[in-house]
Order: sequence, then C-alpha cells, then structure tokens
Amino acid sequence: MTQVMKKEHIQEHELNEEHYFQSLLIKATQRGMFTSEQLAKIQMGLYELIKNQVFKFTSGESTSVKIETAHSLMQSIYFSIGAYLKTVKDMDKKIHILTQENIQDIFLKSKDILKKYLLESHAKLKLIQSEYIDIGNMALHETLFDGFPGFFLEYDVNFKAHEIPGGIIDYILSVDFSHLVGVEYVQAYLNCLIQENHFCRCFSAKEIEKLLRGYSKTYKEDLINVYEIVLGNAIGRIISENDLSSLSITNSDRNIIKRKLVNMGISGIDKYLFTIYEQLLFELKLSKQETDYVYSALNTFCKRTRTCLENDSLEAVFISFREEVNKPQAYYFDGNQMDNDKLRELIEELNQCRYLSDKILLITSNVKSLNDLTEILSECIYEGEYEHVFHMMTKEEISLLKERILYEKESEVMPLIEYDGWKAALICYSEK
Amino acid sequence: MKNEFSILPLDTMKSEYPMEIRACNKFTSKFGIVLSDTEIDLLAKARWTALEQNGRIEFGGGILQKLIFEFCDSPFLHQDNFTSTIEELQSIFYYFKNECLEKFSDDELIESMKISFDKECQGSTDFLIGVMLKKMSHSSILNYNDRESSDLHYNEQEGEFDEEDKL
Repeated sequence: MTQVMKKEHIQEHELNEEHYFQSLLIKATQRGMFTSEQLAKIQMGLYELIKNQVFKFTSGESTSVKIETAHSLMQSIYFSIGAYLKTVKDMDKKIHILTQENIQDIFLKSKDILKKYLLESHAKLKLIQSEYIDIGNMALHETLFDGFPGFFLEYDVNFKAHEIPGGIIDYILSVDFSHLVGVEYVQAYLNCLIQENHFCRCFSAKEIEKLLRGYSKTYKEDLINVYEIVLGNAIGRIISENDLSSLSITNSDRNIIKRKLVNMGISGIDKYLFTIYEQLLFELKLSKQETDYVYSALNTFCKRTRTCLENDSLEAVFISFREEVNKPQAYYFDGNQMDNDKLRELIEELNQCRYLSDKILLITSNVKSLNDLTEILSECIYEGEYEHVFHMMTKEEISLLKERILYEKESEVMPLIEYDGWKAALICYSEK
Repeated sequence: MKNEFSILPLDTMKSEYPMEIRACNKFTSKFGIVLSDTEIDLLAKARWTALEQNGRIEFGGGILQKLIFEFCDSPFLHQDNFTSTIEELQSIFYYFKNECLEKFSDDELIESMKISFDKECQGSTDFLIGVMLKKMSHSSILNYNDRESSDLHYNEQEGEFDEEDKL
C-alpha cells in the first residue's frame, strides 16, 4: 500500500459551500490525502450508489437515463453527502470518514440529516406563520404562505435534494444565501427570517406600516427587506433621543442626527453607531441569537449611513412617515340602500329603457344611495350616457365617488388595474 | 463543478462490460449464433457511441444482453447479420427511450421492437423506426410519476410530515 503523505491541511474556507463534497474530494486528492486504493474505493462506491439511484429512480424499469437526469441524480448525491460532512467539525475526521466508511452508509446518514433539517425547517415555518402580522407586503406573504408550503410539498430528499422546488421564495432577507441550495438554503433562510421577525415584533404593526409607506408608496408590491428599514429608524430614534414606542423620524430628528454625525469622521461614526446598537439591544431585550443577528448587519448599516451623510441624503436611512391617502370622509350621509331584489328589478327595467331620458327619470326617482348608483353605473349606463348621470349629482357626491375610486386603487395588493368605463369618465368629469 | 461524472470510474465500467456479453453465447449458440471477441468488443463500443449520440448514460449491464437474448431466435437473424443488426437495434432502442419520454420500460420496449421486427418489418431495421413511432403514438401512456420519490410524505391537509419506509 502506498504510504499516505499528509501534506497541507485543508481549511474550511477553501471548500465550496454549494459543492462541498466535490471540492473536499478534489482538494484532498490534490494534497495526497488519499492512497490510490482509497480513492478507487470512493469512486467505485459512488458508481454503485448512482447505479442504485438510477435503478430506484426508474423503479427498476430502465438501465439508462438521459444525461441531464443522471447529472441531477449525481448532484443530489453529492449535495447530500456534503450536507452530512458539514456536520463533522474536524477536517481530519471528514477525511477519515471518506476513507474508512462505505459511501452507501455515508449516503444513508446524509439522508437522515436532510430529513432532520426538513422537519426542523417546517416547524420554523409554522412558527413564523403563527407569528405573522400582515403589513401588506406581497412578497413576504407569498413567500410564507405559498412559496415555502410549496417547497415542503414538492421537495425530493431522495433524488433532488439539491433543488428548491415549489412556489416563489422571493422575499429579500438582509443576509444573502445564494451560496446555499436545497434544504440547507431553506433552513438558513427560515432561521434568519425568525430573527428578523422577532426584531420587528418589538414594534407595532401600525408603526411599521406607516414607516413602509414612508419608504415607498408601492411598498406592498416592492421587493424590500422590512427588517432593515425598521432597524434603520429604530437606530435613528435613539440617536435623536426619542423612545422606541414609535418609529417616526421627523425632519428635525434628522437634523439632530446629522448634527451628531457630521463631524465624527469614519471611525468615529462606526464607534458611535456601535454604542447606539448596544443601547438599542439593551432596550429591546433580545435573545443572544437575535442580538447576534442584529450585530451582523452593523457593518453594512455603518457604511450606508456614512454614504448617505456624505451625499446629504440621510432621509434614505432615517425615513419619515408619509401622510396616508385619505379614506373617504364620513361627513356625507348616504341615503338608504335599496333592497337587493328591488335593485335587481330596477336594473332590469333600466336595461330595457329605449331612451336615456327614461333612464335618468327612473334613477332620480328610485336611487338614494351612492352604493346603488355605482352598481347602476356599472350595469346599466354606457359610454355617451355617463355625463348625463353625473350632471344629476352634487359636487359632494362626485368628489366622494372620486375619492372612493382613488382609494381602491391605492390599496390594491395586485398590480394596478385599469379603471372601469364609468370610473375613468367620472375622474375626467371631476377635473373639468 | 460541471462534469459530475469525472469522479466516477467510467473507464473501469467500459472494460468490464464485454464479459457479460460473452456469457450470452451459451444461450445464443442454440440458435446457431456465437459472437466472437471482436464482435463483442464492437458491440460494447457501439453501445457507448449509441448512448452518446442519444444523450443518454447507462450504469451497470445495460440492455445489450437483453437485446441479444430477445432477438437471437428471430427468423430473420443468423450468424452473418446478427452483430450488425444488434448494433442498429441498440441505437434504435436508445432513440426510442428518448422518443417515448421514458414512459416505457426497457423490457416493454424491447419486446415491442421484437414483435414489430419479426412481423410488420420482416427483419428490416429501416422500417422498424416508422412502425414503432406509429405504435407509440397509439399506445396508452404509462404514468412514470406514480413512483413515490420521498419517504417523507407531506400531508397538505394536516400541514405536517408523515414518515413512511418507502425506499
């Protein structure tokens, strides 16, 4: 047997996170950590493993598969073995396992690890879903209630362990996990989302919504990270000597922040922000894991603050609330709504009218409520007739209906829809 | 990490294959067909070429043995044309595995090829492709996807995992 010549030790940071097993195998081979017999044994073990996997994948019905299929099966095997090896802390022990243990046994252990991750991640998802407070962001909602459930439904730990199937997972976290795949990605993602969620739960949902509205009018559709925005304002509150019962930062608060930071210099700002972070964490009484997570964002936050200070754009970091779109005022008292059956009879009668003047007469005689009128506008009045109906209405009624239309558009979760015919006509009419 | 197969001992796999084919002679000799070492090497090389041409890969014995066993009693095959025909049939087989989208097992496809070869095609591999394509378009589709791919089954109604010993 050729003597193993142990050369340069392999460091963890040298290994590729996504292709962990392959990179370990290559590095160990390059550094002479395997004898030729050991390497041959590993290769044969992998060959037998892929042969078995193809057999199982095709239910024993096919000896050949498309190359892409075989690639995928191999990637799954490598990913699984890599996931298991990552749980072994000592590098020498990893090498020892590869040289002494049967690859099939290593693979079976790896599947147990992945199943454990899957069950743990699922429990984490349930926790996040139970703690979820709807702040209206579509990406977050879809990720939690569509994307991840889809993943757990479709994840194939046996043949496609490296994949992330299912619905869309596109809510952005403050940490990047693009170097991870499969259930490792999901596990890391959910771990972080829990920390971000716990931090945000220190503040009221109403305050967060106001803050997000201040950040962007279209925050509901935008791909944003809520945690970073909340963290920024929470820090701003402390710098401007406000308490954390609100997340509001006014212009004068920003001036205070600017005055404090402007003459500090780079290292001065970083040191100062570090003390503010400590104060924030003390006040919020977070757990160690949550604290560590907040600290992990410190460097990026310092850099961003310094850049915005230089560009005199601190409002990008410490955000002011925006006034809400006014909901329709309650000062207008609507008439009584018609009984549903009576309304349907009226609509039928209106649709049988030959002349517009007859329609107008029926409407003025029977319709007292704006709700009924909007129904009639949708179902019985057509282009060329709208203005005649609008002429009958008071300025107040026109204004109120217009506000309702604009309010519907602002609060739509889905992308903006075009107005119905009468709505567009009313807005034009109101602007004359 | 583009070539996932670079770690595997593919050369070893290729060199072991002819021994399995040699073992077929014991059976095929009853039908007057005995493959020489040269012919066996030719078929073994042709197998890899056919796989490559059809974008497929095979681990283990492959279908050559099955083809030989299935076709050795064909009234249209004899010692002189057996090797060349099997070589063509091998290529046709992998072509059809792709065409049928993996919906037929190896055994079903080989059996169907043999029946068509002996009946409608009268021993012609040229006609075999057309006849097989026609058959496939009329046949029922077998659902490959009924295979349970995971032994952790996610119960959507309960919102939890049921663990089953499947594989």
